[in-house]
Formats: sequence, C-alpha cells, structure tokens
Amino acid sequence: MLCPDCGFDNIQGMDHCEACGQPLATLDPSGGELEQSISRHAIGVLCPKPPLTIGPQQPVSAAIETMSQQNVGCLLVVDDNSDLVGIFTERDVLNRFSSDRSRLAAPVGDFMTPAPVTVSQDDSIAYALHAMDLGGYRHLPVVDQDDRPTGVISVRDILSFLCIRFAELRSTA
Amino acid sequence: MTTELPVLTAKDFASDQELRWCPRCGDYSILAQFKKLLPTLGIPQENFVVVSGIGCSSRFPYYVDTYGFHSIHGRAPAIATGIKGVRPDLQVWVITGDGDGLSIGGNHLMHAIRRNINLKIILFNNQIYGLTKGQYSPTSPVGKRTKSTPMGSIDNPLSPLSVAIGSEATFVARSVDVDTKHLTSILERAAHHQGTAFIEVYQDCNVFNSGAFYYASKKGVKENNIVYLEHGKPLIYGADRDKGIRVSEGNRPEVVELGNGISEDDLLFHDEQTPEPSLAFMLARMRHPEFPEPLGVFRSVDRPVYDLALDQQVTEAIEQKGPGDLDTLFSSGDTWTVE
Repeated sequence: MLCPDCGFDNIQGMDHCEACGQPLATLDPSGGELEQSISRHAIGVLCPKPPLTIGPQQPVSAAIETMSQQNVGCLLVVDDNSDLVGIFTERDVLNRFSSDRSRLAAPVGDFMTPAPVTVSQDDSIAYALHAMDLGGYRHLPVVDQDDRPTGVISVRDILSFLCIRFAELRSTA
Repeated sequence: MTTELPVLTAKDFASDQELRWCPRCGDYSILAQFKKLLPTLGIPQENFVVVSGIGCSSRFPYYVDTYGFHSIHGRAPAIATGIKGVRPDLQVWVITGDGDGLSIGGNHLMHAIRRNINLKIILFNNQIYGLTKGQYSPTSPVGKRTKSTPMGSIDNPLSPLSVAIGSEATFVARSVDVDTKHLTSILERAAHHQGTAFIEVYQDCNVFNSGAFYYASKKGVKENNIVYLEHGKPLIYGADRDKGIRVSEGNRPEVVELGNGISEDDLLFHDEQTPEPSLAFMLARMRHPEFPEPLGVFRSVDRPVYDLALDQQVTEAIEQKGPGDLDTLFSSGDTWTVE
C-alpha cells in the first residue's frame, strides 16, 4: 500500500504511513473496482475452454501436431481413468525439443509437468492470477471436485476479462 | 431498582467503518455470526471488548460497535489479560489468526490459555499470511508452495487445537467460516464458558490460499471429510452416515464402516467433559485425508478462572491492608537511584 504523500510502500492494512505518519485508513487496501472484481468473480465467468487431452504414452510429435492444429498452448495429460497426471505446454516444446528433434517419438509422459497446479470453477480469478504468478504458469487446468479436468484457462483469458471490465468501468465512470 | 437492558440486534453491533476485506473473504461470515450472537448474551453493549493483533482478521474490532483494541502483532492475549485483570466484569474476545496467534504471538497465546483467563479466543486459520500477500504460516501444510516457500514448505505445521489442549485449555472447539449455524452454536458455547475458550475457525483465503478447506466446507464433499462432535454421542459421519470412528488397539482412532458386525455401540462416544485431555488431543490429531476432521466442542471442563482468583486476591488484600497508595508503595524502600 503506497503512501500517496511520500510513496513509502507500507504493508497492507496499515492505518498510518510508517514513514511519514499520514493517515492511510481512507485508502482501500483491496484496490479499486477492477481489483475487487477479480476477487469477486470466480473462474467460471472466464468460461474455461474444454480441455484437449492426450495420454502419457502418446508420442511428443502427436502432442505438437494437436497443439498446432487446434491452436492451443497446452494439452492436459490424462491417464486411462481420465485423471489428470500432467500438463504439456508449448514451453516444454521450446525448451526441450527445439535443438533435438530426434526425441519427438518419445512419450509425452516423459516430458510433461507432472501433477500440475489446478484451480476449480469456484476459485476467484485473483487466486488464479496468484497461482500463475507463483509458479510462472500461463495455463491452469480447471478440475471438478473429483480432480477430473473440466477445462483450461490461460493468462490470455484473464487479460480479456480485465480488458472488458476496464472498458465497462470506464464507460460507467 | 433494576434497569432493563435495551433490546439490541446485530445491527446495533455494526460499526460505521467500511469493511476492507477482499470480496468473498470468509471473515465476513464470521463477523456476521459474531454480531448476531452478541445481542443475545444479555450483556450491556459497553461491557464487550474485542482485542486483536495484526493480520486480515485483526481488523475485526473496527467492524463491531464495542470497545476494542487493534493492538500489536501477536500481543492481543497479553492486552486482553490486562483488561480482564482490572475489569473481570467485561466480556473480552480475542481475534487472531494462524500467523498472529501461533507464530509471532505463540508465547502469549500459550500463557493466556494455561492461566485460564476468562477470554474468548477466535483463531481464524487460513493457513497463509494473507495481509502480506501470501507467505506460508505456522499452519501451512508440508509441501505448500508460497511466495516464501517457492519449492514447497518443509516445516511441520502446528495444529492450533493441539497447542491449546497442550496448554491445558478448558474449552476447545473448531468450526468452519461458512457453516454458519454450527459456527454460531460454537461461539455461543464459548461465550458462556467460564475460563479461556479457544475456537479454531477454518477459513479460506480466496486470493492466496483458495480451496484449502473445500474438503470441510463444500456440500457434497464435506460429508465424508468431517465428523460433528456431540457430547455423549458416537462419532458417526458420511453422506449416508454409514461410517464411524472406533478406538483400536494402542488407543488409536480407526475409521470403520457400520454394519457387518459393527454397530454404533462399538464406536467412540464423545465425552467433552472428561478431565483427562487425551481424548481431545487424539481427536485434534485426526487430519484429512486419513481421517474425517472433527468439528464441534472437543473439550469443556471447569477449572479455577485466573481473573476471578486475581480479583479475589486483590479484594482480600484491600480488606486486610486497606486500599493502598501507589506513591507510598513507590517510596517504601528497596529503590535506588541511577547516577
């Protein structure tokens, strides 16, 4: 929470600036409307795209082909029970295969990120942003209460949400 | 002549301060139940005090129209002890969190509890430091990845109830923020307890630790993950109420399915009034997913109350030696001058 007078970065919830003593209680620590809306709205409003999945034994070349054809940045890796076991992203392709294409026949399961961080439809958008920031992810699988994947959200979905909300708030201001 | 108390409602305990918690925070629910409870206790509004430390939950005193302190980090139990020491007639509530109460203020919490001061302590457990944007707390589980544990926490978490029971708490309970009916009943029990009442409330931080307690709060999920404690009744749970807790050899809890020769009589019957704290301690150690986690009153026993004993000592001292005089005491000798 930045003091509007001296610019000192106080911890959230401070009533007076630690550096200059100016009152901060009138500042809203949970931010303005835009910031509040990402806490108030659940991930469900982003309408997560249905997940594109692949088995862990499928070759990496098949995964790349699917991602290219479907124009998506990731595939969810599921086992025979449809349980989520990993995520395979374009980042995995760039980091691991761009210089050595001889391994494209290897199974996806050898190169996926196992046990990825997931979110539920009811989690807030703010939590999804926090999880992306924390892990450096661009995609998060959305799972149901049995941990089965029901969708995927990307940082692009959140960006779109923020742009729409921003436009709405500007038009009503 | 008796003076009748004015009839108050929850609205009378709402302050004029703007709430500054994040939207959908569990704190709102706890605050709402708290404000509903206070007017039912038959205590004059001016005789309530709410004391907090530092953290999201510790903004609580601003939002209830009672006397209160938003005090210093972890020291709410110490300040509340001072209040009860001089004004045992007040009802004093302490609001704290898992970081404030168990890390910075762990020492103060422990000593307030073991003295059995007549405080009502609510510990909001969201397993994270929310106000400072998501660092791991003393109750964060092993492996929890946060801003301060990027590779996952390697700390063994504290169980707030184990700490309270280990400190010889006379009233120990647990509830969930969104289980409003249950939470209200637990707060009411705590309000009427003589001595330190310690309540842990499971609470999701929907920004930094979302879903931490879904297993205990989501309809359709929680039924198989929690067991409600009722004094004198067997521990039965499950969506079909077909499972229970039995004590096996070595005094260990065991999940069993009812039927096939196992009846309710074979299950553990809860006794919150037993003087020996072993049962409460065993229940407090039952953790998801191995066991259903108990909600309700773990322990409720009688023991001399510190502030009443202190008040009695002061009264006796005044009767024996007169009211005393601070200046006289100060100049009575055994003092020295620093030069």
